[in-house]
Formats: sequence, C-alpha cells, structure tokens
Amino acid sequence: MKLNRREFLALTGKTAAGAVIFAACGLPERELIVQSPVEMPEDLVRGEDAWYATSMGDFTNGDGVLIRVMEGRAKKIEGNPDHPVNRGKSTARYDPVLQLLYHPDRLQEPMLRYSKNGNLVNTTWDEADNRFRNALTNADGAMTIVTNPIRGHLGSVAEKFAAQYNGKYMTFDPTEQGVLHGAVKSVLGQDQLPTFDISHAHTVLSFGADWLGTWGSPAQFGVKYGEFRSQSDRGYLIHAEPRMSLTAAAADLWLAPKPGTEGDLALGIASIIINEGLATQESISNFNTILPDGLDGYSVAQVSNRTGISGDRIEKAARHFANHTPAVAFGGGSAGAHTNGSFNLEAIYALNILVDAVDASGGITPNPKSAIDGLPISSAGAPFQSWEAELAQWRAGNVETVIIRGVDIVHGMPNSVGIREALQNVPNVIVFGTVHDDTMDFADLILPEKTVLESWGTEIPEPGPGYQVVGTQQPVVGPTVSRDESGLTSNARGFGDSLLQMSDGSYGSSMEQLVKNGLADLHATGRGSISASSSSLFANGALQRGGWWDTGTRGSANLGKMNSTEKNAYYSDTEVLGTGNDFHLVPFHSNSLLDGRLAAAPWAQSTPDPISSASWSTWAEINSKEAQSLGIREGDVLLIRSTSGEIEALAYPHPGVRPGVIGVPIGQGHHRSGRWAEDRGSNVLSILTGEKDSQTGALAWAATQVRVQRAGRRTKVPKFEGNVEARPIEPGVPVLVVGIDETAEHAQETNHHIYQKQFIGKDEQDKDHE
Amino acid sequence: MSENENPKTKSAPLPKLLIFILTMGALGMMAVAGAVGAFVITGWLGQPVPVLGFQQTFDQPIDFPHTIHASMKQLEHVAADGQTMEGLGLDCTFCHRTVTTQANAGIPPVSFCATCHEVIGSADNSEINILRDAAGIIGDDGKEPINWRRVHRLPDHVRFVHEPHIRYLTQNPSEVKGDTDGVSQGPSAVCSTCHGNVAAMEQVEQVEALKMGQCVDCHRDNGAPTDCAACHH
Repeated sequence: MKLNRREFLALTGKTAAGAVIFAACGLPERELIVQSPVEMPEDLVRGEDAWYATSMGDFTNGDGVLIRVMEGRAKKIEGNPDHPVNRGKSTARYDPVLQLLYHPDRLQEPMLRYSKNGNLVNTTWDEADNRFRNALTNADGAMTIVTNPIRGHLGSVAEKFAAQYNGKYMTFDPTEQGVLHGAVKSVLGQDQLPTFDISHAHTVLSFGADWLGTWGSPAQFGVKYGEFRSQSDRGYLIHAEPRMSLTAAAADLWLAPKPGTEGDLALGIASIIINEGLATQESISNFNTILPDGLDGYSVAQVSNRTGISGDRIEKAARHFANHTPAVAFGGGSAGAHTNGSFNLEAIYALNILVDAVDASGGITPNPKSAIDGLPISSAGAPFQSWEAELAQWRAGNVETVIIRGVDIVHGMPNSVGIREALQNVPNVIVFGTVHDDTMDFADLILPEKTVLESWGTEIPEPGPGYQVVGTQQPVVGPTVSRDESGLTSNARGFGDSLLQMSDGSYGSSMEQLVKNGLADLHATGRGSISASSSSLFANGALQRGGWWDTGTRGSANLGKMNSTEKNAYYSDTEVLGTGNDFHLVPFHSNSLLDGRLAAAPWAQSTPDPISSASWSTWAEINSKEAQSLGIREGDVLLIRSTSGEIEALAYPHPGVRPGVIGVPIGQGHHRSGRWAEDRGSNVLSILTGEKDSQTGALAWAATQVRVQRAGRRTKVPKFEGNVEARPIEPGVPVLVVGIDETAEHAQETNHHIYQKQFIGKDEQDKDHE
Repeated sequence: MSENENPKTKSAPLPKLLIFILTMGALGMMAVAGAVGAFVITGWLGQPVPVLGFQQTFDQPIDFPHTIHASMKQLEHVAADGQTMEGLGLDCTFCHRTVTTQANAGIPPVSFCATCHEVIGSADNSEINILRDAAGIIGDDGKEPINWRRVHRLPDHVRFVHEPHIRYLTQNPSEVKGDTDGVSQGPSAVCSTCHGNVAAMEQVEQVEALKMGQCVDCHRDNGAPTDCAACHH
C-alpha cells in the first residue's frame, strides 16, 4: 500500500485517538485496589464512625461544626446542633474544606528560594526554621505580620509575636468591613458587631448585606430567618441592594438604589416616619440627637430622585418598617463600600432608634465583652489607607521581613497599589499556606500550614449570638498519610505553633496548651454551659460540645452620634477608558468561593451560584433590557475596564440587576491556586480603583466605574438554568415563566390560563365566552 | 455477439478462488461478530466469558487461601510438617470487622494479620513472609500497606451498604441462598448469598453476577424497596 504524507499523518492520528479512547474505557488502576493499611486506625476498633466537634476558623464567622471521621479520615462536615451560633445548620462552605485537607496539590514540605529570581526548592523544617529565625533576627523591628482578620487565641498569638519583635501586625480583608465596625462603634457604642434578633422581628430592613448568602454569619442568620418566617404574620423582609442577591430574592420588597445612595434611602425612610408621626416623641428625640445635621434635603421626592427608587416604594418601606414592629435595620457589604460608606451605614443603623430596636427583642442585640481576658473578639481588615502607607514602606525597602498567613494579598489587592513590586523589595517574604497561591510566587520561604481540621484554637463568633461564646477548635485527624503510605500528605505545622516555637515562650509554648489554659480560666469563673469538678473534665466537656457559652451574659448599647461628614458618593473616572459603555461595578462575594479562599476546592468551584446558577467561571450580571439595547447576549465575552486594569467576563443578562450596574462575583482569576482554580475566570478585585471611605480610609470596593465593551467572542455560560426544561416539582403547581417585559403578576395570569387548558381541558375565558 | 453488446463493458466471471475467499471471509466475520456478540450478551446478563483478562479472579500480592482461614472441613493443603490440615473455621467478621455495621466490609490492616502470623506459620513460608515484611517484622524496608486487587466491584453509581443486608439475612435465615462448606446457617453463610462459598476458594472469585437484575429480584422477593434511590443515591 502506498501512503502519502497526509494519509500517514491521518492514520497515525486515528490510531492514537483509538488507543486513547480504548484506554479511557478501562478502569483506572486505583479503582481496582483495596488496601490493607499497616495499622488499624484508632476509630476502627468498634467499626463505627466518630464525630468530633470543632470550629470552622477562617471559613465562617465562628460556626460550630461536627466532623465525621472514619478510619482516621475526615469524611463529612455538618453543623453542630449544640452550638448557639449556627444551631446545627450548615453552609455550602463547610465541606470544601475537606478538599483542602486532602488536596492533591497541597504543599508537602517547606520550600525556599535562595535569591529573588531563583526557583523554589524543597527543604527541611530544620533549614526552614533557620531561615525563619534569621529573618526575624535581621528584621530588628522592621517586621510585619499579615493575616486575615482572626479572633481567639490565634489572633492573640499573632499580636503578641509582632509585639515581641517590635513589628507590626496588620490584617487584610479584600472586602474590608472596617466601615461597618466604625459605624457600629459611633452609633451604638459597640466595640464588636452586635447581632440582630431577626427571629423575633416582624419587619427586617437590610441594606447592601447579603446576609442569607455571604455576609456576616449566614448559617446563624439563616436559622433566624426560618424562625422569622415561621411567625404568625410570617414577617416582612425589605432589602435594598443594587443587584438581586440571595437575600434580595427572598425579600417581600426589594429596593434597588443607585450604588452609594443607601444612606439617602435610610434617611428618606426616617424622614417619612417622623413626618407621618409613626414613631414616639422620645424615639424621634433620641434620633435627632444622633443626627446632628437634621433631615433637611430628605423629602420623598428628593430621595427618590437621588436613589432612583419611586416615592411609593420608599413610603411603603417606611410605613411597614414603622408600623409592624418589632423591626430591625442593619446593613453592610456594598452599602458601606463607598466613599460615603460611613455615612450610609451610620444612617442605616440610626434607623433602629426610631423604632426602639436598640437592645430590644426583635431588634439589635449587643454582644458582651470577651469571656477570656485579652482575647480578641472582634476583627476587621486594616483600612486600605493604612495598607497604602505600609506598602510604600515595603517598596522603599524599609521592611526586612513580612510574614503572611491566611490571605492571598497578591490576588486580593487592586492592581493600582503595586503589591508585586512591594513584595519584591522585601528581603524576607515568608508565607504560610496549604496550596500554592499567587502570593507564594513572591515568597522567599513557604511553610506548609495545617488546615483548620488539624489545628488547635479558639473561635469567638462575630457577630455572636448576644451572649459570651468561646468555640473550640481541635485537630480531628492526625497527620494524614498518603495513599501509598510512603509519607505524609503534608508535613505541615500550625501557624500558631510555628510562631510560638520562634517566640520567647512568655505567652505560651503551644496552641494546645493555650487553648487548655483558656478553658481552665473559663472553668474558674464557675459559670456557663459546662459544670465539671476539674479543669481537665471541663476542657473535655468543652471540646465534646464544640465550645463554652454563658447565656446569662449580656452586652449593652451606648448610643453615640453620626460622625461622618461626607454624604455624597464619588466614583472612579471613566473618561480615559476608550470605547464602550459606562457601568457601575458592584463586586459581590461568591456563595461558595467567598473572596477566593476556597477556590482551590472543586466542590466549591462546582457549587452553582444561587441566582444565576453559574459555576466554574466569572460572569457579569447586567440588566436584561439594557443588554438588549446594547446588543449584548448571554455568553458574550465582555471587556470590563477601569483605570486600574481590565478583565474579561461572560455576559449574563438578568432582570434582577439595576440598569447601569454590572455585578461581578469575587473569587476567581487566580494564577496559582491548585489545579482546579489556576487561570480560571477573572479577578474583579484587581480592577478596583483606590477610592476610599472618607471617614475610615477603608477601600470603597463598590465605588469603581467601568467601561464595558464586547470582545467579539462568545461562549457558553456554565450554568444549570435553562439546560433542562423547567417542570413542576408538584403536580398541579405550574412553572412560572416571567419574560423580560413581563411582571410576575402578568406571568402568573398567563400561566393560569395555560394550566386551565392543560389540566382541565378548557380555559375559563373560553367558558365565559361560551 | 449482438449489435447492442459492447465488448468493452462485458464482465468476466469471478474466479472460483475469489468467490471461495469472499465466502470464507464473510463466514469468518460472522463468526467473529457472533463471538463478540455472545461475549457482550453474557457480560450484560451475567458475567463475561473469562478471556482477554476478564476472568473473575486474579493473582494477589499474597497467595492468601481463604480455605485455611474460613473452611470448616479437612483441607487438601498439607502443612510443612506433612500433616493434613483442617480449616480454622473463622467467621467472616473476624477479619472483615465492619461488615455488620458499615457500608464496607473492611479489609484487615497488616498489623491485624501479624497478630497471629508473627508466630504462626513457618519461618520459610514465602507467602507469610511477604506479610511479615509488610508488617516490619522481617526485612529492613519498614512497614508498608498491601494493595489487594479488588474482586467484587459494583459500578460507581451504585451505593451498596453491607450492614442492612447482613442484618436482614441474619434475621431471616430462610432467605440465605448459599452455604459455607455445607453449613447454611450462621454469619458466614449469610455472606455466601452473594459471595458464594468463599471458604472453599483457594483464590477468591466472583461467582454471582451481581447485576442490577439480581439485586432487583432479591429486593422484590424480600419486600425490600425497589425504587431507584434505594441503590442509586
């Protein structure tokens, strides 16, 4: 047979393809192996699984969980029914932590770089310890520790360690909540976040905070929301946010204000309540004390004009809030992420005074002080303004050693601050972590860190439930042996233990000892949820239950004043951004990835967004009608450009977005974050501009204006919605399909007629006609 | 030759040899197709014909005889001292400890095997020495697990839980379909319903098809649920 070159290549290709297909049909070898481990796991003696109570550390705001462990491996994470914060409920963010524990790309050994431009090489802990010690010695006061906002004993150790080396301790949160803490402090006189008695409120008025999805403590709030809806009048939820979040979708009345006008909306509501005499004179007097500038300029017409919400809807919200008490108002998230963020949140929290909701059932519940002296119970990221100053020091070479843990600052910082250049000018960058992240690309020393399931600690929930709670965190699995038992999955150490090992020992020798000492202090108080004759029995009781709490303790509010002076929001400039259409960028937390800290876990990646049902990607929500007028279709690749940079996202036209707003989820766009997250989607945080809250200097992360342009490419948005034809879950309950130009009422009417024809055989209209 | 016939288009008769080759080729292809079809159908309905690596048993890392451990009869095995051997008659649950409480029957850890075999079995028994080596009793390469080849395997979309099946058959001995060395009662006999008389197997093999039809038949006969979610969840 004579073959030409083209035929030969085709035949070769087909043969290779055939070989691959047949190989793929077979079972992988590992599926056919069943292993006799060397030793019998401790929990296998009785052949029953064991459940350990612990806390979720960095991944929630202090939820208590139970971990099912079988044959020495953690298998499942459930809410702890005993824990007062989440009361047995869980979120989509629990189980992905198991995948971080057993991640195939988990850092196995310490790694170091001999020169800034050199490659990372594996090293031993002895060598790593030497390098760490030298970096501390050389720092001589020029050292900064950077962590995520942490509370409990780990936060205490980080603070004391920085103080011992005359260094600085800074926390970083890409969507920082410092504005929220500031507003709560100035209006309610609280050093830590209060909780909201949603369970007993008849009306809830929330602004900007997706408290059922991602904000604060969704598991806690979700339990309360269930109780709120179980009341005899079902409760009434009013939510104000420019895009439809999970909370907005659950609301009875959704208001979509222009971003940055949430404070105007709150004071507009206050103005209606006062003018219509819906509040007591005492409440109005207290409110006026809080608000030194009065309510001039907040008539319904003026507020409607500024917020873009019709006067009718504002009046409806105000009357319901004032007439159906107990009522509670709270806000956060994007409402505080503006140049006037402090004003917005102070105005929102001041509304509680008008309905006597402060320190009252169904209103705001202050949280008490720490149960253990000296233990941090509140934390927020350091203001962006402080970060700009700190990074200037790094760039200038004035900081010798930076220790980073729990945050991927290269991913989390906007492009405009030049974080990469700053890190390159720090001689010793030491990064702790479980999976290689973007910050580690600039590390001189990488130290594998134990996960929350392998470490000791305590967790103070924030917001707490209204009384003192100390959650315990304990290792639920031992050092994890690899499948072939050739070694450990990760030869990791806890962050706290690593710092204590390098310390002078004056504040503890190990995290386990610190936790047990803390529990002994609680035992000495003689109060709370655990009674025991000795401190060791007390500690066992606390560890078995997942913590200690004292329902008898209460905090108290101390009304202050609104301090903010800047009432109007300012946004970044778009004039120099070339062609395209201007939008207001509203970044929002991914329901499962959060700010990206769970992006490495495939379960988190594959969890669909509750609104768009999209996953594994970065999409951009824009108003359906606006998209239609701009010729943008679903799946169009959009170039979203700000003065800080440009990202790509897939268009997702959706009626639940305010016109002029583009909503983009946070959490993707990692260059390094394990095999499932690398180079997936776009990092919306990178294109935020440097606008700051005028009061606190916090990053105004929802104040960026962008110019949007189609890239000329189109691809499918990975989502569940529309892939399978909608069908009724219950027979006789028709699916409601709402078109772009249709209201829900119209759609319901149309569906009714379809239902009549389908199930009864004739339409009522036909019957009437007959 | 008529005037209409074109000599250039007239076909010559096929050579007899070519006809024979084509006929034999067609018959051969039909035979191959039949064999492949029979293989697929037997595999679909029960177990595939044991060819091309589709046999129901494998060589294992250790030539582990279930007969010596589980049988209740006199064995063909001859001990090192030349004496005939009798099976130990161990219950299945002696080694597969989680079968009555968990989804998986459980494979004993090396240390568990070594509890007996540190002393039982002659020092020159090569198979037992593999175990001793893995347990770190002999050799200097430390402890290591043993990777057995799985004999019974259900598809990934089936969630089989041993515990309720063992419990039901223990409580309803009349439904036990197999026997262990002729004894049709007791815990080991329960296992034989699906696994056959393992106590008589020098090398364990799959004797039942363990296909969906068999599962559904048994569930139906015993009043167990037959909805999809009973197994596919």
